[in-house]
Amino acid sequence: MFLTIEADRYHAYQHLLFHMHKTRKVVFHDRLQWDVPVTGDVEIDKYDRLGPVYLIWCDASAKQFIGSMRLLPTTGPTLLDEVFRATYPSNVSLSAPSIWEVTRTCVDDAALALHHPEKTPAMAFGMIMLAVCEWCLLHGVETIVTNYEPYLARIYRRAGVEVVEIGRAEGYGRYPVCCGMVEISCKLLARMRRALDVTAPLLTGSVAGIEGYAA
Amino acid sequence: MGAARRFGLGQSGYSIPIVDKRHRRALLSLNSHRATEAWQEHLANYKVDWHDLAHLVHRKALFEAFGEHDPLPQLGPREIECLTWTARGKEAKEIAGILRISEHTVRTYLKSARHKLGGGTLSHAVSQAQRYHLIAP
Repeated sequence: MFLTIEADRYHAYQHLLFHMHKTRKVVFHDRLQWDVPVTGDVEIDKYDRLGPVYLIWCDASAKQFIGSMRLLPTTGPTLLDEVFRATYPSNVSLSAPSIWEVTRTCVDDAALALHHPEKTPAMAFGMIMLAVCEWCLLHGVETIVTNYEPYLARIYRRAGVEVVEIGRAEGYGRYPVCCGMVEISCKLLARMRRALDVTAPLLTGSVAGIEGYAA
Repeated sequence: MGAARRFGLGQSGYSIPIVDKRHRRALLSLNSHRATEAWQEHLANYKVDWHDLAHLVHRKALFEAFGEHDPLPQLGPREIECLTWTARGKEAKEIAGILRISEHTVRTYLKSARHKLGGGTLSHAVSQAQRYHLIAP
């Protein structure tokens, strides 16, 4: 199932969040070799301490973590603004209540293979992004900004997402890092559901109030 | 709920958390006597505007508390371009054609410019930008 965990409920999902930080360490530190803050088994940065919303994909019992994305409002301090500012055109970031940033996307490959062997890591990325899209529609978030390496644009597209590149910069690692914008709309929701073969809402309680939601 | 009702509060509401670049936090809460379904519909129509309003109130509250505004955050080149064309009377769709970017991208740059220039309307953002010489008069 897909869960959105906000700061007031972190305490209820400590085990899932811990597993998320462990997976982030494996993905961002061990595999991608990014310069991220690691303590022991986990990767936690200062933005985790700002009370972000975590979009978590887990098993039905909410005990096994599969994947996640992290959401922060661009009205406050963000990773893109402070660390990846060079990927914005002329180093100036975007800021508005309806623009949120998505960062630290990760998938636990072993958990995915165990619970959803029919889904590739690319599809898993799409599923979590689809849940993010639902959350955005519920909360009046109209634009997502995110950083990604160029090859990820293909994975976005396969999930039905048009990510518009607005800037890029070198010097963060092997590949350039792009800054992209995603328009959140009911059209996007429909496109993603077609691309990912999803016919029902991923977030429970998210059906009401979304225009054009017909299954 | 009983206590809330005695104070004149309605059964429906919506709370908007605010966080700004200097880590300050606030909460704007709205309350209504509308029934749930009517409220949900009302909310869906106005939510995005209320989020903007919440940040505007936050900014006013900061001014009341500290007597001065935060320094104006920087506008990016695309925000300036989009504001400049807006000042010349162009709408988002036309600006998109001129700059060869999508309409949504234009709207996003304008949203960001509005927020950075005080959170008011687009007209207000244009006049602020002109006042502070961020765009040509």
